[in-house]
Amino acid sequence: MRGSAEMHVPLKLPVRVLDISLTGALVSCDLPLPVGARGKLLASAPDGRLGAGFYVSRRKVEMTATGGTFGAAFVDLDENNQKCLEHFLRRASE
Amino acid sequence: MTKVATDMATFLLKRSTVHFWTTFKDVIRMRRRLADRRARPRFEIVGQMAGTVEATVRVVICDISAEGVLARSSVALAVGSEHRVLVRWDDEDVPATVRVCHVRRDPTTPPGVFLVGFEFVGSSLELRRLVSHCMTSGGSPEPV
Repeated sequence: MRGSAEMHVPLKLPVRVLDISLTGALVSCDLPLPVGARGKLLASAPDGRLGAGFYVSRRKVEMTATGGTFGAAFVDLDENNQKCLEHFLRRASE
Repeated sequence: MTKVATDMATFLLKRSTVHFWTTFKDVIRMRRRLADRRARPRFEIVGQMAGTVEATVRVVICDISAEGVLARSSVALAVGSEHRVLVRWDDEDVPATVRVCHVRRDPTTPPGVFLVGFEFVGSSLELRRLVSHCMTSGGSPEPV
């Protein structure tokens, strides 16, 4: 084929957050996203729902099984989500 | 003369000690940096913290026909899953619904890249026109 042809596929994937900090999270998923991909992480924190935009900073794909993990670096955290995350982490550190 | 030689030896010894000490401190500093480069503390989640990720993945179309496309993707989409996608050709976006027919590893690329076969589920006039345009302007083996 001549020229540039591509498809944009929106995905909504169930994930498990393995660890988290103010700047990012390690996420386990059946379809780990590629490095550089951008998305939004929605998770239930004890003090409410957390929604954070992120980009994938690294990825580890399991060779023997489906799935893997990826590192999500948070970007554009709004004030509410920043507070929710700070509160959650403060409680976790007590 | 002997004193000068002794002084020179002491000087060299001092210099090499300082050099060793500086290097040693650098190594320790570097080891600390490598052990944890994070500026903020990180907390392991004990138990379950379930969530959802919403993202849009870009796949590169290798072949296209009226029935579907073969695309190179860094995500191994589930076979049988349906997706509402945007097909982009020369800055023109056309919405389409596709179903994943097969997924296999791409032998020509490093691990983590897959060849995914999609079939169109129904096709609009707009999509048929775009596919026809792609096919008539194709014919080159140039990779995309």
